[in-house]
Amino acid sequence: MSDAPILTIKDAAAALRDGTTTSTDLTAAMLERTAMLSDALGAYVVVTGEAALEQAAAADAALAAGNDLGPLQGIPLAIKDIIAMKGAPTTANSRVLDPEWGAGTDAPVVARLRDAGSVFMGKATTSEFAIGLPDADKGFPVPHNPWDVERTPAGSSSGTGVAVAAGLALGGLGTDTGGSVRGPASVNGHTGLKVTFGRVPKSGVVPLGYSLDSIGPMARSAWDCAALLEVMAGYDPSDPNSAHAPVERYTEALDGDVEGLRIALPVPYFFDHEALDPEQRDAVLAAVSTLTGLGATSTETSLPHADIAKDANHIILVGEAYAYHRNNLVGRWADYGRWTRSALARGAFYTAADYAQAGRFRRMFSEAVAAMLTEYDVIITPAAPAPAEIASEMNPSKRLSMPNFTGHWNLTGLPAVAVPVGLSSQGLPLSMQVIGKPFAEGTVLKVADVLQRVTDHHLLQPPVEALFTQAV
Amino acid sequence: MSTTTADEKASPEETVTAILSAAGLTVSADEKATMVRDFPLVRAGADRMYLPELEHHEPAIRFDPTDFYPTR
Repeated sequence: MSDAPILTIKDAAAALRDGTTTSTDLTAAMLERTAMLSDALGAYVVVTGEAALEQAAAADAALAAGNDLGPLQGIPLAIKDIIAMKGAPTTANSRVLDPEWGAGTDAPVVARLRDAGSVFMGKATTSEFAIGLPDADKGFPVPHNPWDVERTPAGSSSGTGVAVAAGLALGGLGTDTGGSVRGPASVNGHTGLKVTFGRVPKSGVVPLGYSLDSIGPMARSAWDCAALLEVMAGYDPSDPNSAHAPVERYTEALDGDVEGLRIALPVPYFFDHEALDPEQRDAVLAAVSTLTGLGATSTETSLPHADIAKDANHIILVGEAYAYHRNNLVGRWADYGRWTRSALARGAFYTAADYAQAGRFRRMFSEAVAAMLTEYDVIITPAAPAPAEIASEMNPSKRLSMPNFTGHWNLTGLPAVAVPVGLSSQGLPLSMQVIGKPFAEGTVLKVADVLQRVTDHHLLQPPVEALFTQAV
Repeated sequence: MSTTTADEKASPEETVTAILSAAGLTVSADEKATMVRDFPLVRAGADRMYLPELEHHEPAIRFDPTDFYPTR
């Protein structure tokens, strides 16, 4: 079998229970597909095939014995390779990270997924240390966008994004510090949720920006992300920023009803930036029209200093990252990828006062967003300025002058979901972002789910068959 | 006694050289050239945050000393 059908977690869970398939068959098919697309897509650093098949067999046996652990049981998932997982190394796609980092342990979030009966396909590629761009010289797989392998799959949760889009996993874990779940979800054409800061314990993850980092679910649909989040969320004492907030039944929040939902559209910067691709903007506005046609209301408004928020997020991110990497940057500069070290070194170019000032801006901007969210239930923006870029044309310098629509919500710690809204004239995924109040993951996922009930953008599959090679 | 005025601001080249030296970072000539070229943009991003309306804002830093005394 060369082309396993791509299913959602929801459909796969139903199929596992009605006997249409088994976890063993599902996992074996995805492993075969992964092998055939390994060279072309570079989704995984390590594939843990043997362990995955053992997990799948255990899931099948448990289900057969009537031990139903919920919709993630027997579901193949990809784990971003900065998250600790038993039975596989954590490399952060870097020669610098201690090979023993996290060895033999599951991050709390991975342990929760394991306890729910999930199957782990392997460790998915990431931008080195979740920052920078791939550097082929360092010996790690370089991920490619399955819609066009010359284009970027975005980062830093590149491998999970590629795996979900190409049918090499039904879902997975990413991390998001400035957009690293939503970026790959947006350019690979599926759903990705950046959670409220503290919603999911982030211990067992190689840090990037301590006060911005979060672990989020990535999958084709909002329902699938909700099912993942139900297992992932909740307090854990090993993360000093873990929140005590109660965990909802997120799948039950997806009631299909947006009647009366108040949508804010912050036009300056997010909808009128000169670098915003018109097709991206129009697809987002069309999706908003769909929502208003179903009973929501939308209002054009503005968010003061939205342009500066990108810089504040960047300064906090690289400041915190530089603190973590400083000694290795001094002693092992050449061991880092060229883009990674350039990006991290920016931390040396800001002062302690700049970091404190970014914190002052963070408070003011958070207050402005909170004021907006007293009048509106959600904020909607494009998830990215444009569809996937040509990979060879990307560099950290270019990013300095490009707009960014995702870092704002790490700065404010809010939940934000990237949702597919169609394809460009070049056949590349377009994406919308829905932002909500703290811990209102159920609301933003509901908006995404409503859209996915009346459209099929999230089910479109990239043309990967031409990339198949004979498995070795 | 020598003094420095705003008119005698160091060039990006001089500033980047000094920062890299102070940080102990050894970079290639190409990398340094890129850093020098990008430095005005990097600096502008930080300078833009010094808004007058932030005068009464404290940094949004979450630190609760009671977190360390759970059985207090």
